[in-house]
Amino acid sequence: MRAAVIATAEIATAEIGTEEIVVPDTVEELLGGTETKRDVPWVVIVWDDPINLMEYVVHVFQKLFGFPRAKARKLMLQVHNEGKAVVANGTRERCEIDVARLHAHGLWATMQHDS
Amino acid sequence: MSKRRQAGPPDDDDLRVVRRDSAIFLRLHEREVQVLQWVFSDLERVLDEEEAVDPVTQRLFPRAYLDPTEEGAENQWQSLVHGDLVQTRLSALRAVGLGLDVATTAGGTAEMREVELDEARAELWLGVLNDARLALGTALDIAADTDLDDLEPDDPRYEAYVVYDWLTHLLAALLDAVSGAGGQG
Repeated sequence: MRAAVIATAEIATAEIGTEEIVVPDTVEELLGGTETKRDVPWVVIVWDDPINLMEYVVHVFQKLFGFPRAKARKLMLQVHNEGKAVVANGTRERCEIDVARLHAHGLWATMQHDS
Repeated sequence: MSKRRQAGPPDDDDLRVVRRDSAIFLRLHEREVQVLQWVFSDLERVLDEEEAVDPVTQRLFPRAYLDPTEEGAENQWQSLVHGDLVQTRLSALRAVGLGLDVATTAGGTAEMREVELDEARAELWLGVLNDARLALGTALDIAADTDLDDLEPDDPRYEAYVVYDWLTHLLAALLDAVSGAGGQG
């Protein structure tokens, strides 16, 4: 396993040429090691606000996430009644994209570690 | 979130958003067209402002991270997406404004205009009307319990409240027409 990893890294080094590539000492290091925090899932939260129309929020949930109308409506009501709701989760990168899409549609969304 | 207020009895002044086959038709009085043009130019001015820190800009472009220890990620995210978010909003606004400028006369009287929207244009209208409500509503400091009926006509913000209320009705009517198109899902 380790030999294969090193071989792959060496091929990558050879192909890229002068770019410095650090060959990981262990598989653990290659797979994240000290950066395991990266693997903790992130969640996207939509917050209640006094302006967005309930029906508009349902429409945006359906459009952006492909939720059936009943699920979109349930999430909207959770935002409305509880002040917020988790609408998506995943890697940091995935959540950053979803937050941007929600902002583009005028919803107040943030992201944080799932705790 | 804002609940749609109970509409009064329908009359001739009611909004006219109708669906015919796959298209949605928005019928507006020429004075309503003027109000929209005024609202849209105001929104364009807000979107064009660079690095503004007023509440309206903060509402249109919120943070992604609330956690202050993620400031580095927040800055990186802002630098990646902010320009796109501004441009997407501006181009939607301009497309909608252009459609308004070329609205045809309709409805049997010279004062009425008709805008025809296919599905994609209807989506643009939803977003732009919502942006306009966010900007105006934030500037007016609309709260969950704000009752526009309580406002006195001599209040300096009265006119802006009336426009905000009308935008709400227009957006709600358009949402009705759009979801009527997509089936009951």
